[in-house]
Amino acid sequence: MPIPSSIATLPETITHPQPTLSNQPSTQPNLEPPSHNTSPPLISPPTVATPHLTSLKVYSRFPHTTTTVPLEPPVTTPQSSVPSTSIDPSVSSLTNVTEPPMVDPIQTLPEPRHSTRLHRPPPYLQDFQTYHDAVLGPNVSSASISGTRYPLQRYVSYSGLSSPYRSFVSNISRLVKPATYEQARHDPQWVAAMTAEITALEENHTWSTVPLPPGQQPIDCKWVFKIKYKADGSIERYKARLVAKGFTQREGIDYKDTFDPVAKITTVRCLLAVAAVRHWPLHQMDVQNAFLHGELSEEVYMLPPPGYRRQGENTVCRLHKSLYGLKQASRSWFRRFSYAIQEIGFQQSRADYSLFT
Amino acid sequence: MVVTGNDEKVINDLKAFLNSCFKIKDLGPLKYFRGIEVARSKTGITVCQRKYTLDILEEARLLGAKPAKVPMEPDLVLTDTGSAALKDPTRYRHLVGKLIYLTISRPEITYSVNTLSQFIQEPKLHHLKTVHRLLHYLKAAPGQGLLFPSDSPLHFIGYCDADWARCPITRRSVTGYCTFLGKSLVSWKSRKQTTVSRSSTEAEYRSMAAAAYELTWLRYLLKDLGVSHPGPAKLFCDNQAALHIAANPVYHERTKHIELDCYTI
Repeated sequence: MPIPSSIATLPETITHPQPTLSNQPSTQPNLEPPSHNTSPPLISPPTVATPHLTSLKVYSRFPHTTTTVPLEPPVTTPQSSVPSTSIDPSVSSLTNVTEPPMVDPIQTLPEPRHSTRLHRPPPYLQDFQTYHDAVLGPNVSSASISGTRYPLQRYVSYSGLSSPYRSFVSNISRLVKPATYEQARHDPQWVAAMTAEITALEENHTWSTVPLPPGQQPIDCKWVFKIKYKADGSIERYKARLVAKGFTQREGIDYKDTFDPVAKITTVRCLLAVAAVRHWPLHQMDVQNAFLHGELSEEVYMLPPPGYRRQGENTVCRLHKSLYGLKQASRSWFRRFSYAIQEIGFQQSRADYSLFT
Repeated sequence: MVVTGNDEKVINDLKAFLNSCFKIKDLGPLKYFRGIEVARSKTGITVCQRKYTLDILEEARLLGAKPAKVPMEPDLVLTDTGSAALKDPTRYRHLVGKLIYLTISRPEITYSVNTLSQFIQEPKLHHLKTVHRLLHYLKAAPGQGLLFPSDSPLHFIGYCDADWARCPITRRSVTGYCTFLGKSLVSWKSRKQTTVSRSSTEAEYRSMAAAAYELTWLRYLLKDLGVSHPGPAKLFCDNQAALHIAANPVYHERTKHIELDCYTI
């Protein structure tokens, strides 16, 4: 089943500018029973059958498609991403090929070698008019159009859905967590969330911007986006959190110990048993952004967060407080907490280090 | 974070101090803590994981299952052969991992979970069936948990036992013990021993040693909580020979290799 990296919809069925149809391949065949012999171009056949359907084509190797793995733009506007099925297939293939694809140089990989064997349809399909046949014509390779062999827009459309269900589908798929900063930066809600996080971090004096000292290697960071829902399913808030890519840290240089004591459950039970006998009141607390309070003893440099990098500048953030994602985040938070709580006269238990009395 | 103390004012001071250092969210009296539901009444504090149990059942799609009376067939000896390997062992591991967390408030399933978790490397179909059987048992009383009564004395009692050569593959024995603080159960364990015991006395003796370790630690913990423990903790064992060895450490050929454990008791 093809994973939709981006979805193109057919022009007459567009309900929303950013539809994501990750659930479509499963719902569509249920709603619209696939008809094999008289398939209109808009009705998708089940995706399982696609190898048969495309088997009419000869995968001709065009020289201009051999070097790039096409990267579709993250935000698909309907106009740009629809290889419309109503256009003449050869024309659409030409327009898509000639237009320079948005290809990142990193993504430019040599295409894996495909078999040059002629693909012939199985004999039992000769009695049917298959979808690809109708849309593309027998001689056009689907690989030459988009680079993906079985692009999803060929198999999924909204047209089979009833209008309330269509609006429902687009509504639930509208709320997409952006995966990268590039996707989020166009949405004012996510931008606001990121600004709030940066403000909180700067108020916390998490870092100071310094030029990168020689011999130091900065670690990278990324944004993690999350939609917080209330109990009834409505949106509570959009949340953006900056996390460091702790997996690039090197042991001994960027971090030393990472162990963080966790309360043993026997201790908790003991505490509860004693509290029951002595009638002690029990209270519960939660520290917000707990890990951000931990202070770092190591020198850790981090690249500025995406969206706050300036071109041509070689400044990095020297971290003073720990950040989510760092290897030593939990340990430094525990050290900070135990220091604070011992300051006011509590003593760390020797029997369980996470118990303070 | 759970805070308790004998003085309400000190607790409030602590909260204010923590709030000045860090930004804390006061969640009020302890009710729901890491999936553990805590309720309080005059008779004591109860701890259960009802929601967690129901979540597991829902995930396994066993909410409509027939309840079972016991967690595992008695005398069921699980081996690593006997049926086809599971195609997707992740599901089994996931379930067993959740059940391990459930043993926080369900001491009675500890042995079953311990046995089942020995097969997560290569789970077979009959292991999964045993897990489902255990879930059937959990369905019978999902809200069952522990009660810490408020009228209990504060001294430790430990009970220990061993199942000699329980494991058919390695022929090791299984240690089991539980310790009570007065009337409330605070810790328990069911675990395969690390060595092969040649006699049931030896197996029992090892379990006594394990329970003694735990009791010693719990006494330190109680001392740190500011509660004095009157006298030594009691440890009960059902094997006469092991008791004799504990009372009078006389070594001979069969027992000299467990000398090390003897010093701890």
